[in-house]
Amino acid sequence: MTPLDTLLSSILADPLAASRAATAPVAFVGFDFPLDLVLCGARHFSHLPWRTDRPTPAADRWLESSFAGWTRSMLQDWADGAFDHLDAVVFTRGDDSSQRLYYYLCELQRREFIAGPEPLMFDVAQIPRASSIAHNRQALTRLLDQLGIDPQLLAAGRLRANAQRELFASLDLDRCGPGHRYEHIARASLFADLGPALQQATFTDDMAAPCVLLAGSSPPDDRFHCAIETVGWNVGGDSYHRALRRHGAPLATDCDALSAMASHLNQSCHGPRAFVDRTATLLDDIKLAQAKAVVLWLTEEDEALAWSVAQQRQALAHCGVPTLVLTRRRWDGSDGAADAMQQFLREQTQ
Amino acid sequence: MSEPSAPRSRKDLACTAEATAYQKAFGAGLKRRVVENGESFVVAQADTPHEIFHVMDIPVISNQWWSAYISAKQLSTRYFDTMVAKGYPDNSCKYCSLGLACTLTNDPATAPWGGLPKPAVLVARLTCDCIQQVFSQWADALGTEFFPMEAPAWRHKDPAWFTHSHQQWDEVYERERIALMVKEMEALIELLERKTGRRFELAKLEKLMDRINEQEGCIAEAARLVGMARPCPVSIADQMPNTMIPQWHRGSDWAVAHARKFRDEVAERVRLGIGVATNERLRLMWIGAGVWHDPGFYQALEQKLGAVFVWSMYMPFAGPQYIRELQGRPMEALASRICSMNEVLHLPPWMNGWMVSEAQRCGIDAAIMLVPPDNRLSQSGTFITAQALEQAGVPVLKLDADMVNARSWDHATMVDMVENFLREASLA
Repeated sequence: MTPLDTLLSSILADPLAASRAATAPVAFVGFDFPLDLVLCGARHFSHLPWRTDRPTPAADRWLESSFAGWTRSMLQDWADGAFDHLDAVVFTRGDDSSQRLYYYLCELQRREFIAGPEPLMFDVAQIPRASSIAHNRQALTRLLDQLGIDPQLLAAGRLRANAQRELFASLDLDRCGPGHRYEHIARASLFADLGPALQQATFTDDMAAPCVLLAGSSPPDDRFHCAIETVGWNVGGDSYHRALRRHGAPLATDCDALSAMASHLNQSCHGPRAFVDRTATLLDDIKLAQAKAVVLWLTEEDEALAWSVAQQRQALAHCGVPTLVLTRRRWDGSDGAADAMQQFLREQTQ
Repeated sequence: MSEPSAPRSRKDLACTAEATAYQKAFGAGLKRRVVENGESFVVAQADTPHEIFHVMDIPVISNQWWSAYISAKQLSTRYFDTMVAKGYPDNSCKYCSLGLACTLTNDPATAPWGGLPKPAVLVARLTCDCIQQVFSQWADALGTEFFPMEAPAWRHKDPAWFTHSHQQWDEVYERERIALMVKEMEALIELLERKTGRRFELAKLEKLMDRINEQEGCIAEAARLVGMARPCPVSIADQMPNTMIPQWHRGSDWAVAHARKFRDEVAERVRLGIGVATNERLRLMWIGAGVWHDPGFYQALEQKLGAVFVWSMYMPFAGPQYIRELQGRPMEALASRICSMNEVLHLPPWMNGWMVSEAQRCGIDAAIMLVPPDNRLSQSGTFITAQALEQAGVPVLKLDADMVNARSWDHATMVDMVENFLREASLA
């Protein structure tokens, strides 16, 4: 294990360890939460963690079946007091489950079924229109005010975030080694600033295994990557919202940070509400990863990406890349999705 | 493939037949305008500002009305099967996508009107993750453009919103959210003027808003009478058409006059002590969209158990969510009507706050809540609302069925479920 691997394992084993040691820490829910704010140095920020491995009886009483699986884990932890040390949790509107969970938590607190930190809403608007960009600016300004953060600090946050965007992009482009490492980096970076550790890391363990692109819903963890590695393939590209490229290209620096962030959030290509041609994106990602096969995995609760599946199937058939499409799957992979992926890749090897 | 026909509903009010006849004639007229005459028209979600189209005299086809039309023609199963055959996952949200399914099936021989011609624009608020996907694809399939509208988050969470939404709409719905929607409406008007050559006039909107207030005031009065009267004077089989048909034409001379006629007929039945059932014993609440493919469902237990569906959202919603004191700002007043239409019906604390209050106002004994398995967040009932009702002493049956997809609905099974629930709750 490299020092980086050790660091990643330690963060992922207890994602809130640093948060518990911080003063008045803030958490967020949503992979589109702005990195520039996270890295501005004003408060300790981390994503809320999720778990796949335990029952969620309290959450099941309050959430309908259409909520994404990770929301159950978060609500259960919230009800159990696991987030009591947090000062506030910010939910973004970039994802329906995140937004709805905010309303449910507020109501459950109002009726005193649960306690815990204050839920806040960060109202991301993604329609490509000037009024939506202006709305993002207002939403950012309000959030800064709610969190007591000086907007002047965002300039420094943008510098750090831009450096990290470039670092993540180059890591993703020059992959070597097992795909599960990149999944670890992408996931651990939700809970800690990996910038310094990644700057120092060197990767030399080249993989000879054929490359598969994992696309669709964000997997809960590295279970699919590891399963794929055991049959002699490697996830050489991740094409889902939580992947390394989620923060997008560096922000413009020729305007104030708030305006740059507002535009960047509006133009994001990665979330379920992004205005983007998902089929073209998938084809680009296949090329970028030089993938020999594609696994398109969607959870039962997904309500955005599923609408692109028909067109994506056609495009994939046209370009001749072997593809496994798994829709309506359990978010924790407990329905044999990994087995199906392994079987599919074994067939490609033969 | 045709679907088995469901029992028809009984209509007690004279004005119901008039409303359905008007809508039938209107449908024929609409078809003539958009199909035969090729007029520019709009396809829009129900929770978009139809008032703008009315002011500009642009024909509008509501997606929900079009879905109900397709569903009533027993075509939903066939169209959804086609979607699956085309590679869409079979759990794709059904509620808003039947129109898209009809277009993609591309079978003029069976489609209503032979299928929709190309609209000038499709308009929808992005109230969930799937709407922009559905409408973008639908616009592509129809060769036109999609005008999305933001559904910004709502931080002012007032469970008693309905008590002061008429006057204090700036506070209830948030000034900032209203301002965003006004900006979007202005952009929409600009687009419509460019694409249709029609002109928008603010004075016309102001007049229309006044007329809508008059219309919704009559519907609100009818809702008040239904809540107070024993026995219940009109079932939801009469409430729905007499609310919703005028709602599609809100502010028109016919709609205002019809709302008044409906209110007067309800009042007359109350005065004469006429009830829906001769032996009313149980007053039921229906939570969810109308089950358009089985209109007889709501009356199935009236004679057997004296169980009357007294409440469905359509009629009582008209008062709190439509009536707006204009305050010299008709665009803002309109935005406040539209900007939370989905949220108040489906999200806590607005949904549960209102429905518990309505159950108490109407003397509800039990509620039947639609919880469709393949419909997405914020489209129907919620567990939190069920729990709030139960806490208020109203037992709730959660029905696992779809409002537009006949495939998941069997009349006899559903009626049995309701009967068993009422018996198990010791109400019947």
